[in-house]
Amino acid sequence: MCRDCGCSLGPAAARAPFAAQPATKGRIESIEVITAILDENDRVATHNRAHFDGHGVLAVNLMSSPGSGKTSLLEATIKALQGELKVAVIEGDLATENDAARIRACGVPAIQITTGNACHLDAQMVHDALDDLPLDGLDVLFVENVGNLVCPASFDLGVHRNLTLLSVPEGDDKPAKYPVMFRGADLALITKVDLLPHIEEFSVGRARDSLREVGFRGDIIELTRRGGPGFEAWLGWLRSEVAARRAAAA
Amino acid sequence: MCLAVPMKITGIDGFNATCEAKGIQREVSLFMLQGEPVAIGDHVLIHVGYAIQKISAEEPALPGTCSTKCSSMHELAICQALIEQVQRVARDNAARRVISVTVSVGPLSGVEAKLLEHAYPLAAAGTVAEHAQLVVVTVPVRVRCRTCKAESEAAANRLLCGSCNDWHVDVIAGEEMLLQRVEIETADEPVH
Ligand SMILES: Nc1nc2c(ncn2[C@@H]2O[C@H](COP(=O)(O)OP(=O)(O)OP(=O)(O)O)[C@@H](O)[C@H]2O)c(=O)[nH]1
Ligand SMILES: [Mg+2]
Ligand SMILES: [Zn+2]
Ligand SMILES: [Zn+2]
Ligand SMILES: [Zn+2]
Repeated sequence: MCRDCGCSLGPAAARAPFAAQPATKGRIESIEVITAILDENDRVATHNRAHFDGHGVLAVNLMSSPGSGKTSLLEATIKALQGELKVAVIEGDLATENDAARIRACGVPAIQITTGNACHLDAQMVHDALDDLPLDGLDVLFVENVGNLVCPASFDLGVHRNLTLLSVPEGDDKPAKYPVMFRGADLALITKVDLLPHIEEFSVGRARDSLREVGFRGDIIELTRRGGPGFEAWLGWLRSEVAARRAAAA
Repeated sequence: MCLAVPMKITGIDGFNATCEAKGIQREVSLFMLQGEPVAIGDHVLIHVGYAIQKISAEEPALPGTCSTKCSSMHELAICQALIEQVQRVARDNAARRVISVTVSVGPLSGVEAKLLEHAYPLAAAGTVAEHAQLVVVTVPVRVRCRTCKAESEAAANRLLCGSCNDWHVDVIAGEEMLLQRVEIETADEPVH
């Protein structure tokens, strides 16, 4: 049950057991259906987006392999925007509370998703998390997805923007290996560029080409959590997205 | 791709169990362990909500990596959504059983046909679609070039125009993940 809007999107309904039928002979029918297999997820995602829009909150989903620097980026971003933007985080790390604790230590609310039973977040899990997270007065809601370059790509969470991080130690061929994840992103962040002098195999040019070849059409920002021009460009992107959300909500 | 964490089972209720590790409690599913009996006090590897393997208590409490089970769980989640839809169709049409389920899947949907077929029986178990055949039609990626207007097939990680090599293309097929058709047997014609 959604406290915010009184909607009845509870946790997914239990499956009804199927009772075997007597062995009579029936008629065979072929029924054309043609629906998106994940249309239920898409419906909940649309509903989530309505929640965010209703509060003028920008919702951003962060996806990457494990350890690409999602939580570190959030920590640095929260510190840089202290007093300027009100931020909250939904943490999708299902195995530990570590990331949520790191976010809370920065002084912003973090909701840990605990009900999941898969290697990705889906729209329902995000909706359930919203029960514990008042959206009033928030500017940005980040969702840190499960560290995984495959599974999260299939599930719309109802956020406004999807970000994919690619860290320098992972190698510049990751977009070619996981095209679906990178193609679906609105912004790509090449993270840990402070390590570029140590990892000469990584070519930013090749990473950019690879992103283009998988059909990624958004901006690409190179940054390190330690600050610098790339990090400022990221904050600039975020500020303009927040402004666009506010304008749309007004 | 994903991490698996060792935990100890503290309670079992059907396919659900409570597990504990380092003071953290988790509800987990025993769905993936069918055929491998577990009891309270057993240690299992937990991969984001599913117990995927029984382990001995002496094994080091270090997260292990998992890739095959992880991807099949992704497809399991998709199969569960599929089964929900098939059940709805079966109910609406008074089906007594489902004979076949046809889906079409493109490489840009992020789902692998093989893994879908692997996960289907698990998701269908105990439902009206239990013995139904899953037919997966794979749809190739096709792009239309904005520059030269040509249409061509493309690889999922090289979305370029087949005739002029430009990357200013629109994907016109290959993203779908659709339930196409459900073949059912209805109960409304008893034997004469
Ligand atoms: N050199 C360098 N290291 C970084 C940077 N950002 C993160 N790291 C390190 O990378 C490691 C992983 O960072 P996290 O922020 O935990 O990564 P994550 O993507 O949240 O990881 P998961 O949630 O486990 O998937 C940590 O040891 C960080 O200190 C960076 O900009 N430069
Ligand atoms: Mg993290
Ligand atoms: Zn709601
Ligand atoms: Zn996984
Ligand atoms: Zn062309």
